Amino acid sequence: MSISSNILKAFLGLSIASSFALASEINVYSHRHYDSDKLLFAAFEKKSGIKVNVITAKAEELVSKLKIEGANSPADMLITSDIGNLYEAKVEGLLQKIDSKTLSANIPAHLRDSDNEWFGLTKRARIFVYNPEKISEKELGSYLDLSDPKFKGKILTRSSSAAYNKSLLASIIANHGEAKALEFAKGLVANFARDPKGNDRDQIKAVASGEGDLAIVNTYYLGIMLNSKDPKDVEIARSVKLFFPAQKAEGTHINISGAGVTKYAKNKENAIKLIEFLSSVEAQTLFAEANHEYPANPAVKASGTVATFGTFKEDTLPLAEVGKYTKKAVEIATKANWR
Amino acid sequence: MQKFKYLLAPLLGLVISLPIVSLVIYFIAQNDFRVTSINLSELLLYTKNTAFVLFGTAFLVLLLGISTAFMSARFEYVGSRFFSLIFVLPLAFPAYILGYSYVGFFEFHGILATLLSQPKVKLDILNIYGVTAILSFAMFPYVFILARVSFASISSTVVELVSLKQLSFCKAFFTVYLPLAYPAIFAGLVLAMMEVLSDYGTVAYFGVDTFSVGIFKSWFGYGNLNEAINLAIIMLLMVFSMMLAESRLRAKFRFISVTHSSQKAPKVKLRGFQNGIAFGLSMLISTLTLFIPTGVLLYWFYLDFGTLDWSSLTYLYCTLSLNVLSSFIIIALAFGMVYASRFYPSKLGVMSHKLSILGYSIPGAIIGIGILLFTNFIDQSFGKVVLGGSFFALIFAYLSRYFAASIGSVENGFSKIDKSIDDATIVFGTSEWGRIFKVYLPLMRPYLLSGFLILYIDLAKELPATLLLRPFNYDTIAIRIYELASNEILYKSAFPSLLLVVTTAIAVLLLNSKFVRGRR
Repeated sequence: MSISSNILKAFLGLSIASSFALASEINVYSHRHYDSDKLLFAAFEKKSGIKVNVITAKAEELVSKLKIEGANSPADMLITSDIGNLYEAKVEGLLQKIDSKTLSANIPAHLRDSDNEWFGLTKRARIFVYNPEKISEKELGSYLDLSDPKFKGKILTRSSSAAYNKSLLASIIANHGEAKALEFAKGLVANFARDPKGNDRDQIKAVASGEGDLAIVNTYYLGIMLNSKDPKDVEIARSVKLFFPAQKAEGTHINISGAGVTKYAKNKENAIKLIEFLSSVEAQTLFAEANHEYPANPAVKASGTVATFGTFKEDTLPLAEVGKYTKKAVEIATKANWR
Repeated sequence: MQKFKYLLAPLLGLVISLPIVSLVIYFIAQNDFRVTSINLSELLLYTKNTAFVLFGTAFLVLLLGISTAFMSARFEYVGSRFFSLIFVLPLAFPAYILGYSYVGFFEFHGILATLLSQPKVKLDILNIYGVTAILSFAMFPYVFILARVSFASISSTVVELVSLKQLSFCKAFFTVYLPLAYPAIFAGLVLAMMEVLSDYGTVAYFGVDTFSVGIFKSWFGYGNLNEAINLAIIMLLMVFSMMLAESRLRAKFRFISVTHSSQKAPKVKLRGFQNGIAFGLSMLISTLTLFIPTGVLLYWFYLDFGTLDWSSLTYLYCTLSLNVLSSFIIIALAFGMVYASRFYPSKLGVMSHKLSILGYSIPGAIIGIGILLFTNFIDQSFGKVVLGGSFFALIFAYLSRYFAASIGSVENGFSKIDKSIDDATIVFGTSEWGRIFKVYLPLMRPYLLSGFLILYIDLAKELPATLLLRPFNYDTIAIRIYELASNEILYKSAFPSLLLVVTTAIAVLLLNSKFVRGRR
């Protein structure tokens, strides 16, 4: 019934945005597609009485969409699952500054924009997963060490176009400079066990199967596998070990999922309320438990599974610095033949 | 009035290709035709990989499609009716889901290893050969569906001629039957090839850099949408010139005139050894293309059963309602276009026809951008949001992208209607609408329905344009599958994927029912 009436409205030329733009709504463009987010939006609706409308798509698409739509955009809020696109949105002038004491209190400074245009909501640590029969923990150190010839034919990772690898390489540029980053990328490619392919889980499986000895992946994939209903996933995840890189250097690289209020938001106040809610202890606990991500709010603990991974020193380089070098990272990866 | 009718086909073509036209206008208006971030050696690699995947898939799609279509249209053997349904179903799998399930089958600790109790058994299919096989499995039903209608309508006169001339089976197949089905086979092949060209998800997962990966590298990697559009337009030009070349070639071989007036040849009953061969071959093809991936999904479904999320059923409702409406609009316009081109032909019509089917060859996300550019232009002209974020934009995107999927069947159907029927309707002074409703629509029914079926399945699994253009809170089942698969919780994507396959099976069963078959 409602669908056919929606279609009717659409055909009569009434847009969804104009016909439903009530004060008690908020329109979200999100790159996150987790069921945990749906639960969080429902919890917010219940608590605030504000209806949350969502469109999920790839971050790059949402940024392009915001750009094309300009002032006509129905979106009030943008959520991405990596820093690169959030940073891009800011640079393109698609976000606006917001003042919120709650957000300043809940989100540490390095996880938010210096102009308060975006805020981190969850953290993802990019770590090593290795085969303990082939590699000893003593051999492992920083990311840069992976270009050492002793790892020849041993390293696995997905393609450089994956947002997480782009951001990792961008952080290396920010921390060590372009020349060092290129040298690292070239060395890494020379040490690949196979051409990059598959997703993060496929890399973990390739370590377990002996195709390579060490993979660069995000922590939560291991968390998901350890809690999988597929017994083989659990067996594989248990057979490998996890290592937090760069503990004696800059710290383990972390990426964020984050949010910002769009420049032409018609429901700005509601958008701020939603971001504040997402940074709250209640919401952060759900983020952590459901998806095994690290909460951005320091007052909230990691999930049970993730807590077993241990504590680590994280790279506190302001993430804006990482965002700045994302395109450079693609260039360097291409130069190094990291497909 | 009469003059306007000659403009009908060109105008329709223009409207349908508006998103592409918007892209081209944008391309020219930007005045930035450079492709700077992608270097020459990368371009060469993309071209080489694209050519390999394209030709490899073409070969396998033809092999699988023609053999299955001919067997099920011309022969009766054990299970032949069952297989004629089964051969359509692989089309219901989004290609990347087929890819994931095959990886799940062959991987370390995978399902094959479990079945054999040999955990170390694995087959690495994440490569160019693997992706070629997967895409062929997913696409061969295009050729099957279209060619089967053609093979089934071979008249008894033709069969009698073959037996009078005492042609061997091989000779008859290659010199008589195959050429008769050529337009249908070609239409199916074009669909498969264009879909291979526009595929991004599967090739990216398998680690094969094709041209579409290059397009997305410009957009997603360098954040350079302009360059991505430039590359897509280069690809469009190549496809456009190939299609023009083919239509020239086809004009030379205009031999098709199998009329509906002559009686259809009955199926040949196979016995003994031949029966066994046909059954074995059908079984092998359906095991590879349907039973193995479905088995994997069923196993994952079993793992997920305790925590099953029944909300997938609401996604199904969204998919079906949008789908049926869009398919109906698209097939009606395809009929209109071919009808107008037949009775009111013009050179402009031919060109705009070719233009209107190009949407199928470029990635759906780029078509989505074309629609965004167009709807935003309208919105800005009105000074308020009129089309943006509406169902209109989404259905328009489907029309632009999937017009090719329907028009092949319609053209194929019209090509089987003898020109003498056109003359007869004119001589008897039947009105235009009477002609359409009383003569052409009934004659075209099986072709329109096969076109509708292809559209229905294509739209059900459509992802990129839906992702970009759908209104708020409106998620289709393909989006649900994507959400779960991109979270890398593959077993959870089994339930929505199976729902997709089941709804398709129901559609196929309906189309195979007496309602349709009675008139064939």
